[in-house]
Amino acid sequence: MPMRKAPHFNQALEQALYYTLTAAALLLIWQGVARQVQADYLPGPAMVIPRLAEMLITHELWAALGASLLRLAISFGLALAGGIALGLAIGRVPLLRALVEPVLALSYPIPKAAILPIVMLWFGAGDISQVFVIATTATLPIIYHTADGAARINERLLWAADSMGSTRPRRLWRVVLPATLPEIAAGARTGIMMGLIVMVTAEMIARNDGIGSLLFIHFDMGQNIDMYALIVLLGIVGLTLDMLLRWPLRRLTHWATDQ
Amino acid sequence: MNTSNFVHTRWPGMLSILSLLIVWEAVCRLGAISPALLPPPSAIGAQAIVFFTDPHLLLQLGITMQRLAIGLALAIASGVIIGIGASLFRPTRKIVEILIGLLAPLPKIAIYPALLLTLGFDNAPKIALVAIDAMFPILIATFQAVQLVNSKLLWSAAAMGTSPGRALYKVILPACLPSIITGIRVGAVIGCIVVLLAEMLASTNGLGHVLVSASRSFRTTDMFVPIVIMSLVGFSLDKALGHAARRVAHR
Repeated sequence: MPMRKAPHFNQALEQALYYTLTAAALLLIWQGVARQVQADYLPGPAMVIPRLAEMLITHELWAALGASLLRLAISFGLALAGGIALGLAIGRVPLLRALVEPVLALSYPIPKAAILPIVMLWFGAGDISQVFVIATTATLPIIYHTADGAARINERLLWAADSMGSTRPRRLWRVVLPATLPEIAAGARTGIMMGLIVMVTAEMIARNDGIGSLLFIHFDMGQNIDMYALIVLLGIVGLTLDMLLRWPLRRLTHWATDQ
Repeated sequence: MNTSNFVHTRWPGMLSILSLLIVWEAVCRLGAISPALLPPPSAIGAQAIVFFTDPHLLLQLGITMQRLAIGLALAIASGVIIGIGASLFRPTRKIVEILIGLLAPLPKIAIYPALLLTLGFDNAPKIALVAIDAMFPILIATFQAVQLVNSKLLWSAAAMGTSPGRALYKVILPACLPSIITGIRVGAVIGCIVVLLAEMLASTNGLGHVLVSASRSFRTTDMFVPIVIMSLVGFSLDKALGHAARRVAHR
């Protein structure tokens, strides 16, 4: 229906325009402050943005970015699989919920990235330790949201499935899972953003590879412009992930918001 | 049903936490895992008692708590003031909305090296990072809450001759308080985590430094103590603020 689509498209365009203008204004303010301060420790975007462009054609940057994003992707995949499975089980089985919920509540304020030095004693200094920490972090919000959604499901949907002779596993797959998708989507978005934060932090602590590690290498060597360029890059990565997850998840769950 | 009665008490939760601790203790006692990798909970508890009797370590705890308190105070003040202030006018509302969209997805920890460069290596960069990181949930909660304040309340207040400034204090702030406290709750837990991380990455004192120096000399039990302390601080703040939010909402 073009009638409905047109204003939606214009709205998105307007939103993008506002975002670009605000980002430009932020850069201008940064440049103004940098010019006033005139110090090594605060280079302006006029120096930082061109340096970022230069860095984007180096192998070093793509190796670091690739290592980071691969770790995040693997961790997020594990978190999705584990979080949805556990969340559905906790949401549909009250006794399990009662048993597990306090443990989850207790694990929520644990500083996940800070346990990395301990985890590194178990799994070594390599990728496994970092994936463990990132995946654990990202799993928690997915479990919360999935369990919440699965518990608040409309019981009539389940009765309907039962009366049509659906088996329990089939009902879980065909009824409970789709009905919980909007909640899962919300959990997944929170999970990946928290995962990104822990990914950067873990790399800063482990100092192996990845963007977080490279950021601190530039910091240690006094390459301030490179360091600021990586901060801008991480901002772009965060914003891109945020938008990427917003879009397909909205398409996947559009029927829920239409009702 | 019998089970639902059981389920709605705190019993199963306590039971599962307790049995988790017992299994952990047993696994360590039976020698299945070396204490150098995973010390039993009893050893961590004993080490925590040692921690609380050592004046040097207590001082580190005090330093961390001070940074956390100042950072959170700054986060609450700036989050609430910007959140309410920006909501009052249409242009600022739009600008702050976009600024949140642009800056909230940035992993704040990434600017920590820049804060170290600009603010030095002492307390200031840690406090600043806590303030920035904890401010966002408070700002977002406040900002959204103000826009949901029923305009009828404001019209009634205006009709009864309340000045706009007084309405802000008498109508908007009380109406938003439950959401603001919920935002502070999220921010407080983030603050607890971030202050520890900031101290781990660059510090010569505080709990985070205690953790890093324990890890450098492979004193595993000592590594657990700062994490347990900060988790409990975060847990208590979360519970206390949750309680406060419920009380305010039911007033």
